Amino acid sequence: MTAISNGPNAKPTLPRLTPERVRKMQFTRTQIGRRGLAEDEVNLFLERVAEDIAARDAEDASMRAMVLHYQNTLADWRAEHRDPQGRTGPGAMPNVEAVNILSRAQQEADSYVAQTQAYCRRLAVDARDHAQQILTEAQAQAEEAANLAVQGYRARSGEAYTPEFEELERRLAWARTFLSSLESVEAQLRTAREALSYEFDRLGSAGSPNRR
Amino acid sequence: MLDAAGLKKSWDLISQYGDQVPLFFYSTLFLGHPYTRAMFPVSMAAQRDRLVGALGRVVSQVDDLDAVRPMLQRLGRDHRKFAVVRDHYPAVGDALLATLEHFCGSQWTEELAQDWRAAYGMVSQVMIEAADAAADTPAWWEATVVAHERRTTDVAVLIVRPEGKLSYQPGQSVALESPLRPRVWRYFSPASLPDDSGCFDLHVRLIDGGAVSTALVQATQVGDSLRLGAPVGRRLTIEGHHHDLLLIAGGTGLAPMKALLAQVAAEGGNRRVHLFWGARYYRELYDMPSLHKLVHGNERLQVVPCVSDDTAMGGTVETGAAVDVALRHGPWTDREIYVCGSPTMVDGTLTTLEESGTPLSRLHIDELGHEETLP
Repeated sequence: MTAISNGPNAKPTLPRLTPERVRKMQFTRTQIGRRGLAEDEVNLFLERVAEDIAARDAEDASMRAMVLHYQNTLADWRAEHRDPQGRTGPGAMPNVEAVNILSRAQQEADSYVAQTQAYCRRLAVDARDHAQQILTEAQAQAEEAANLAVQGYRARSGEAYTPEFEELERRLAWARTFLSSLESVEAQLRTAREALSYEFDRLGSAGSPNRR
Repeated sequence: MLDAAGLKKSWDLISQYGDQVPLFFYSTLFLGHPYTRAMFPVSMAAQRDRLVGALGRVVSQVDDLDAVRPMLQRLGRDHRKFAVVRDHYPAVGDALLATLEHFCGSQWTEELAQDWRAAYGMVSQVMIEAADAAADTPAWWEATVVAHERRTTDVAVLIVRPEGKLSYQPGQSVALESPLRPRVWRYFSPASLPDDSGCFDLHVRLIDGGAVSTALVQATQVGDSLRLGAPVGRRLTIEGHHHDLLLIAGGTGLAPMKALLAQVAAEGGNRRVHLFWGARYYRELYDMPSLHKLVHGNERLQVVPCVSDDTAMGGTVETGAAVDVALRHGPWTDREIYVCGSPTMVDGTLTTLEESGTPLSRLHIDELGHEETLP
């Protein structure tokens, strides 16, 4: 009954898109400086397309089940009326409605997993960007401190100036500033973690039965 | 005699229903044989694409079964690690036939049913025989994590100890399942030769949102158990030739390359090896001390770290993609060239090598990020 629109002579087509293929689709990045699309918007749209395909697949399946149901009813009716051309419906087949209910549940599970993974991916990308930004800032501060140290050394060394000492001053200042930037970030993270675990404890005790 | 044209025609017809076909197949299988559901992961989306892909390949060559025989034998052997046994094959066959019948609708005939049943019978027989032939090796190895070191934000180096002997060629991969992500298997390449107690290294990069890699990098501890499949893949091994090697690795694509380097170092022959290992930043080159130790005092072995985006190193490290740095160090006539890294890295490396006029016959390539679950 499903071959109505796609006769046996239907032209060979590209494999149909599946929700998984849409979700896994990756586009080539544009070169830096060239105009490209906003990645988040593209991903959001792909997720939407995947959901649509899944929904349409489910809809098709339930329509097929309906057609099959009518066909079986018709077959039963014909058998009852002893229509010599009548044939019984496919007997040993599992119940198509049950198959479709399970399929729909699986599609929903797939969708939850895909959304959770997409969310984790976004979090990880944000965290990595943030870490990169912290490092870049720390490097910039270190460069600035190094230049100041060099100027300071030149001003005060006078006759004793050597390029070797200047380089040493530069590197020392760079490393000291870079490390202290990272340490301050570390301290911030520690404070944030402590605050967070305090909140967790509070939530935990609020949820316990003997909180009063 | 099978009507191959008839089978292909019915498959073409069915393929047009896309994802609905494998959805129907698995639901039918699970309803008829509920215990089979436990063999699959929660999300079945990737699974369904794999099933359709594998079926499509078999159907397209059903009149020349010898052409797909190696693939089927490999599938049959590999399926042992999913705990697939002889008894499961008829259940799958029944579900497949019911699915085909459902989607062929009025085109379904008794002859077509017989042909499909015969074709499935031949395919499953090849798989079962291959599984039986491999019965003297374990279907999988239980393994213990004996070391877990987080080298960067994204990369962990694990040392695993399989129970019982697990022999592999350097450059091969083993599938791995973590109890934290049941029934999802991913391939990793051992990054070392097995030591005296059979332990070997694995390099794991955290894939953003990835199920298995996230569990392995962030949530796995010393003492945890893992399950390992039989070693697979011959593309990155150096068996069968005695040429010098040019190894080009990106990120954790280092793993198989380091195993090759260790193999050549242990052989002590005359083979020369250059390894170019690339990352964006120097801090991402997570294994330099160990590599230096491996090649220390051996003039025939060279390791060249390469960074593409790092300006802070002040010229102390070669800059550019690993392949570009490698070409600057050339020429590499008569070297066998091995490449491993992310798909983007491998593609870029191939393009550059091709443009430089390197004969592709000397290339040995594999990509990271295989995934495998039960088709």
